[in-house]
Amino acid sequence: MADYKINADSFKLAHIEKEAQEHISTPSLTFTQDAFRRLKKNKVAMVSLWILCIMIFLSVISIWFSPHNPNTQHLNWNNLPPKLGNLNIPGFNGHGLVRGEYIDAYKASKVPDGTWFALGTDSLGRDLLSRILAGTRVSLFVAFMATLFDLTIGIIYGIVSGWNGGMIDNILQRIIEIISSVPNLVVVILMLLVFKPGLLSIIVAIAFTGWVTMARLIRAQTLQLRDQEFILAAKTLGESPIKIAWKHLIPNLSSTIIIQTMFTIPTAIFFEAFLSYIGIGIPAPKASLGTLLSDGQKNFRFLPYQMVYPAIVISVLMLAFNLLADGLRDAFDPRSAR
Amino acid sequence: MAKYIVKRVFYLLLTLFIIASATFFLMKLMPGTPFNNPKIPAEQLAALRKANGLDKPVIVQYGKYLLGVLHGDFGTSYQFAGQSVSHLIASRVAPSLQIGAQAMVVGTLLGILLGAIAAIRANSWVDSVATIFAILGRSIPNFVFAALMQYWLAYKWHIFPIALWDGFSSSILPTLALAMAPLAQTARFMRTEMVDVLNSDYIELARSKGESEWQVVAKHALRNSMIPIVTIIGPMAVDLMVGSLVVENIFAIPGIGEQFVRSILTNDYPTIMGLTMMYSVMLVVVLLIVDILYGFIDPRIRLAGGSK
Amino acid sequence: MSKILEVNNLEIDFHTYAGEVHAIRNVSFDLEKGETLAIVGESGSGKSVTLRTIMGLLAKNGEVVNGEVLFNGEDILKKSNKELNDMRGNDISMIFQDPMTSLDPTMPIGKQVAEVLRIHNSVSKKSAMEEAARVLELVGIKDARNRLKDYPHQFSGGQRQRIVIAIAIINNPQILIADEPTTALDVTIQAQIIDLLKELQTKIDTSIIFITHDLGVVAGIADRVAVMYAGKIVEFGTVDEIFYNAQHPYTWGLLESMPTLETNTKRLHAIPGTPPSLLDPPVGDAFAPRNAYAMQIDTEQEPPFFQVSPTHKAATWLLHPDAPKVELPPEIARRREIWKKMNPETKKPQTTEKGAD
Repeated sequence: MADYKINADSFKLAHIEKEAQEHISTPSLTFTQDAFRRLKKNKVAMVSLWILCIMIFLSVISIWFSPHNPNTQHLNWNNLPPKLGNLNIPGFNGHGLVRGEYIDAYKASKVPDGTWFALGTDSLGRDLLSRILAGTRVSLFVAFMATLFDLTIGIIYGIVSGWNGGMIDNILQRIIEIISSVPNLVVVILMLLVFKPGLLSIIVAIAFTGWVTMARLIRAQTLQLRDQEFILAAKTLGESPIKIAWKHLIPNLSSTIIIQTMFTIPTAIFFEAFLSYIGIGIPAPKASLGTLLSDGQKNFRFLPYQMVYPAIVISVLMLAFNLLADGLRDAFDPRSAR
Repeated sequence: MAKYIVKRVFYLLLTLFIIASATFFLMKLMPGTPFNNPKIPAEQLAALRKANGLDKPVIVQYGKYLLGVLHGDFGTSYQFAGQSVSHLIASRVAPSLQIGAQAMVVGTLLGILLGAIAAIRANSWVDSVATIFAILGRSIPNFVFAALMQYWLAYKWHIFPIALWDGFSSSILPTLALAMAPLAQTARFMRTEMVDVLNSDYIELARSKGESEWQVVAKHALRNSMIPIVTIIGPMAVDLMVGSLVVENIFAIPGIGEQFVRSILTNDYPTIMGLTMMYSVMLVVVLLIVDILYGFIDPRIRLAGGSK
Repeated sequence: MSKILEVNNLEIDFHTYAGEVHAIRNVSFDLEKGETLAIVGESGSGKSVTLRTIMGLLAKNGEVVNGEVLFNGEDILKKSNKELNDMRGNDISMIFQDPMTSLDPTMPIGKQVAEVLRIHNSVSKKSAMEEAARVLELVGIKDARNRLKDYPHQFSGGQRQRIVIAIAIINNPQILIADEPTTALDVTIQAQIIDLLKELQTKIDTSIIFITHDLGVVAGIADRVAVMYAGKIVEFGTVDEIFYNAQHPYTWGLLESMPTLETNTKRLHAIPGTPPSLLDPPVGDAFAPRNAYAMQIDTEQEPPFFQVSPTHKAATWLLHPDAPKVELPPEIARRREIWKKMNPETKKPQTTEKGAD
């Protein structure tokens, strides 16, 4: 009993404010705010985001500030190993095996002092670093453009299909079924054979198969949303279908769209690299990560650095996109979070 | 169930018909044939065109082509004069199927194992390792994998033959390179499914029955999480087909993937059409089998289908 | 009567990314052999966590900070996994809330029932199946012998709950824990399941702990009732004491919000506000912010238990001898009248303070 301090006022009725009863102890956040708060806490995703920003920045800025011109050939200086200034770091000191001897390849090729290639040169004497930067830019451009097409077609197709239902939905779904019955790469290859090889046809070809997944996801979600009360209310109030789609559907589909976009980009990067690798992608002399890998593969056994560096770049790029996509998915769908 | 299968088979045939027609007309749009070499004299060109039936109206060519497809006849290869496409494919399909099947089995089994362990030990270091592995498998393009493995394991360390299609040992590296993507995909899928299942009420009930954690996993969790894996076999088959194009090239395997790439580079249209049909048939059949299989192994669908 | 289960000073925290959630804050109760104890409270009051702890099935991020759970005198919290597995499904078994999700969808029900028998006893598959059929008949599955090979989705919700009950009782457990077993069912089925549980209790002579948020269900089945709020027991007594002589304002709120045949009010009373966050439990009485009878002391100090009768205690400062007499809500006053008729000899309740530890 001694534990309790009881004084004269103790048993007076306390007047507790109505608001205090309804007080909710955590601040309220909108769904998107909450998702981004969760994303910011995800270290892996944030590191990936930074890596991507840096890579995009470097590849864009290299339009103006490139160590060398990516397309200038120095046929006398071909297949030079990496050299970083006059720093004598093994692997970056300009030494390489030439006819079984480990010598300074720069001296042998009579490269003037002060000229060096950070990641070496390729078989035509072009600076590999500059080509990787330019190639990354091309690969990213192709991926972003293809994804943009994907998004637009997929969202419109999905909403139209899911919203209308019935006959239209049935036909549109059969079309999707047929398209997805052919391995997407075969479709892409066939399209590339018909169109002239080039940036645009690659973008179109990749986009042509990529939208199917997006359309499916959007349709499924639209079907669910269509029957919900707030959509019904908007319909009852006489809003036009386009307005409903824009004001009510798209915001509710946004998490699906963001997540799917993030998964589409690395797929597009892979496809571009793949097509260029087998020789029907970006035409020479333009560099892309795929063409660099394909060129590097030819000399791989003797000059592995020519393939290893592009391989690292594409792997890091894909890794960062995938990890960021995972992070976004976990942030938007906390149930799947680990 | 029977009605459902009949319906599915009908759509399958319709799909194949549309694909066959689409490839045919696409090919008609293609720039160039192997015969537009200006050095070929006019009479010889006419003879070649006639021999390949290219002098007839398009509609006749189309009809002939469809009839041929029905018999599995895709005409003769431009590249290998006189060799029929179906023969060409038949002679090359075995290595591709072997590597594809091996990669599928290795990928799924290891993937299930990895995903299950990751889910059971969720949020532990085992989970992190499995996750990293799965993400690497998904992020590094398989042709990069293939080239790296070839360089280190075959060229540098001489553990495996570099590129020679000769017996089982030469199929190991290509199988591993191909298995990477399905492995990563299965592991990831399995982990998600199994985490869900392990948090479900019936697992809680199984625990409350006094089953040990091992019994809970073996008797209830594994089966329930493995059933949905069947649904990703379709996409996985696509991955394998796509992957085989480059992997077969890198390891110089005489399969249909390697042939496909070569036909593309030499404008060998009949072969391209034949292989496109071949891939499509394989894919739709896999999808159909998966669908029917799913109905059989999941009692909820099996019995619901039976009563309808 | 002997005590089969004693929970003493139980405190459980959950580690979440937002911080420590003090889900159970000093809970003590006991269970007599053969009785039915109901634990009543809102979602999040800690009822389910308490029961999962008794089963040894606390979630991985939960930690028992303090207390003991004595089953036949042995502390469950100190048992090894092996001992726990031997106990679960055998000595103590559990019925879950949602019968639609608590059976393995890919296993025939006969096997699911027989399984629990075979885990704890060495019986042949065949005789386990026969026993499963017998128990399924007992819980009211008609023609059970021919339905052993059927899958859960072939049964209705009520039938599935009967199957879950069959799994729970097949080993004649000493304690049967029912976690809101009727919440997910239709009202007519609810009554059937309650009747079944009562019938089984006499047949297999077991004690039942029954969790619910619905006081109406409690009246039909319980001997004693514990009312939980914000991770604590706030009132504990026999079913009559709780229904007709409730002392805690939260229990009043629950009673007022329960529809009865006798009341003719047009609107049901609702308790205002929301339960407090257990991340940072409030000082004093956790119910104070929602309590129309809150006093100054409620916001400062946590009330101890005041003993109302040997079987009845409540944690509210209103029972303190110095507390002012408050005017009871009409529904509670009506119930007090009934209480007086039931116990004509009782005078004003003699309250004694019992340390809240």
